[in-house]
Amino acid sequence: MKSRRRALTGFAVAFLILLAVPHLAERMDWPGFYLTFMFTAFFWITQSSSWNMLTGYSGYFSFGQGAWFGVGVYTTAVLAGKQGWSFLAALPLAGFTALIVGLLLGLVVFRLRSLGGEIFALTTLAVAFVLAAIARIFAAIDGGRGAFMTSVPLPEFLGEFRPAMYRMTLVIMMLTLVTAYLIYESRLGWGLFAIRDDEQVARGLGVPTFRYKMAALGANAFFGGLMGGVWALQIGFVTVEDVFSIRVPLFVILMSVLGGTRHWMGPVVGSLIIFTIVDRFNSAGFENFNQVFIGSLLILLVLAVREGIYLRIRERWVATASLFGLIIAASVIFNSSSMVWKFLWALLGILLMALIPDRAWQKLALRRRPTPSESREDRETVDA
Amino acid sequence: MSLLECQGVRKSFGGVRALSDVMMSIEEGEIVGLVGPNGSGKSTLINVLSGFFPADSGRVDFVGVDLLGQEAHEIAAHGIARTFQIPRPFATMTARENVAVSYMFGREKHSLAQARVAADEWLDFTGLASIAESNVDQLNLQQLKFLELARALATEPQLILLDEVLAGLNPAEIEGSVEMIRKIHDRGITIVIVEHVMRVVMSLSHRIVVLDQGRVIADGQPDTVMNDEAVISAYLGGKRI
Amino acid sequence: MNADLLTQAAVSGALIGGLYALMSLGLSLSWGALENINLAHFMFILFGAYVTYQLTSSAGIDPLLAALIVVPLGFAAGGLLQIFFEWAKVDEFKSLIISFGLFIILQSLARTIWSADFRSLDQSINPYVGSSFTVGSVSLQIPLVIAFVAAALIAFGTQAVMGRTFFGKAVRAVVHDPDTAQAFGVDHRRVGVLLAAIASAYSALAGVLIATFQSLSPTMAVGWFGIVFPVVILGGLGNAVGNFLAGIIIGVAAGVAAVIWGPLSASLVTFSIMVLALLFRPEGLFTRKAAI
Repeated sequence: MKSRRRALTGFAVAFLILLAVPHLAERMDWPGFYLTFMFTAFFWITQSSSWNMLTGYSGYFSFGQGAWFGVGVYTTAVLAGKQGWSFLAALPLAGFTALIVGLLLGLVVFRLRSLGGEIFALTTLAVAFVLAAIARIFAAIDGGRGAFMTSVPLPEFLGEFRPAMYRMTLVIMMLTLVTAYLIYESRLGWGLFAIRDDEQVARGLGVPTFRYKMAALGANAFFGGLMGGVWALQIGFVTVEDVFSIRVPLFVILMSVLGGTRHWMGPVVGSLIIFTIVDRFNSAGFENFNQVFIGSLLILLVLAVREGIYLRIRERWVATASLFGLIIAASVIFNSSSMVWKFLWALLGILLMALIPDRAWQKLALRRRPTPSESREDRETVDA
Repeated sequence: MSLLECQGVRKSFGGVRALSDVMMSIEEGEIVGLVGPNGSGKSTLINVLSGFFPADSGRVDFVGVDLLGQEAHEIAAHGIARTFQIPRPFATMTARENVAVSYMFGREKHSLAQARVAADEWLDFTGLASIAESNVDQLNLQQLKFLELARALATEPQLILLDEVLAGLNPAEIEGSVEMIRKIHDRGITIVIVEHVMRVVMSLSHRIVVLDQGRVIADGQPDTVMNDEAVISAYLGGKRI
Repeated sequence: MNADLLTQAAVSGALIGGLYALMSLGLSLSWGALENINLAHFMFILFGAYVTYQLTSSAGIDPLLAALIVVPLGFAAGGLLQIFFEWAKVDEFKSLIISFGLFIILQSLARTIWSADFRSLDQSINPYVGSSFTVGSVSLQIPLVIAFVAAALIAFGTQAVMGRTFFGKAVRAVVHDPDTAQAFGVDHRRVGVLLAAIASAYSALAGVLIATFQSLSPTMAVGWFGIVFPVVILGGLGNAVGNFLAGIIIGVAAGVAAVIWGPLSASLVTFSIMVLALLFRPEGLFTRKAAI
């Protein structure tokens, strides 16, 4: 349990450092979009990490992230935007409403023994459609007219809009990551991994598969919905087409598959890389190119790096850290564009390095061949 | 009272009756051989007892609890474990992790930290200590079968159902496996063994139950059962060679 | 509620249900017989429709005659994709994700070529749109009747081919037992490529028929999910006639629901039917358990 205490301390330290960023930004007079960039990254990290609690851990592939996100968005949009609730009172309900919808779905689909993973995937896809139809039909939710969040007041202690968004998304992201980590390091997590590998055998060994899958789906929906609740503010004018689009599920799948679904850190790394690339594409005016890029990357990743790049990065951490530092330093010396661009170059460098296949890498790194025990994933968790 | 008692257990698949009125009891500390020709319902019975298939009707009492209608994981918690004819290890885990997961669940719930210690004990017991770190795709068939045993044992069962643990092994490996089964029995675990290798079943089992067309046609001492007319005709189609 | 209105909705729904069946058949065959959940079929439909639009508006070809060009294109595209799937040894799951990636790329390509605006064939070059005849008090739109007849012919034709010909038997052999099929000289790769090509040709044909009476936009493909998946699930994977009947059921249900509760309720109803089908008949309404 020493490792768990150390990890939780790590989370606390990371939280405190990130919490200080808005003060720093104000004092150092950073451009405002730095904060926006960061809290949007927090948003995606939360969405993909929460998706991974279900799909990465239990193996049940979900297209439903848009549904949980959408339920969260509309919960605060209706309660705070239309009914005049205070925002912080409405926010937890965003998570809980999504949780309830998620559990209802689970009750239907996980009760069906004959249901394969593919049918589950398509059912989750359908849920977003059904929810979108419900939102369009009922005027109390949307009724096809959209919902405004622009005049919702935020409590003063959160600060201006940007720092307030930053602080709220930061808290939710940390909650999500701590949960993802704790599940990963617990009986629940290992039960889910067993389900992922062979559900029938897992059940035979005593894993209460129904309850565990419900827990994973519930956690997924809750955090996806909670972050959606905050995100309604960032969207400002909420419409069904926007909220229930294929965008959110598409991105979380891509981010998690890139980073790797076997480890809780995979989606974090994947989100940072994908979000930064897409953000820079957009700012450089390549918006149409984004979809082509994302679709191609998805195909490439599924064919080439099934385990995701996080485990490779961890194996090659010395090279990763040096490369990251080197590129940042070089871009500081040679150009003066914004910090985000420098970050992008560094991430792209790491991505390219991680795409080098293991065998080629071992030829490159002649000095330090990894021993078998170093090259396997997830080792420390069960080692005596 | 018997450890396990089946009464009138029935199971059909789309009109085909796989088990009809199976009556059988298992005493504590026994090794029972469950034999019968192909398609006689042995595997179906194992699947029903371990909760993989729900039975259509009947009663299965295990230390006084009716198991029928219980989920597989509840049955595991009562103390029945099983192995698979074709080993089904958790493919993304190492041998140690496979056993540790099983120990975490099984009959009593244990924490991850406890499982780390216990897994090594069971790997040791089954002689797999040296490959604890290996991924399962690096193991050979016998190692995989022993891993199945280690995983079943880690659930701390009272009764263990072995589904053709010897199938596909060479004579030397069979020898080792028989020794392992005896070793398991010495720990006080009751064993039901489904097996095709008759010589082994005869020597291992205290008692033999013969299934044919979904019903028990003989039940008794190995020697008596194997000379039973009904058994011989079930196996040899009525012709005595 | 006006009874005439309901009758009209049901009849139109049944007719358009034929089209729904044709749109779903490609995916159903590829899922049921090839074990590929090939979302690219949505793109075969979309491109089938857009290429028809392009051929008709720039070359003045009759939209139905455009099928002579569009359908072989779909055939080739589906065959090539299957060759790629075979080469990459794609399982059911990977096929879902890879074809999802293709879906996104091609949708974006369609937007680049034809823009996000609605495109529809001009009445002057499209003799079918808006034409209809009446039977009693019910009016039947010509393009829907054409689509329905085509779908019915294809559904029963496919079923007959699957049941009676060597190719059909080969497909079933490959599905049930690839090794034995191989032993009897059935090359499962060639059978798979041919079947995938045929399935994609069906999808392309559905696209042609859509172009004869609907406005096209790249995002409409996502909306088809709500129709195609319920039909595929309800009809039973790989079951052509079941798929056809399921299309009619979904078409009638959506049409009648739209009249009673408004057009927005249609996808609610179709998905509810799908969920009910999953709950009670996961193998499909018209499939006996042992069939493919």
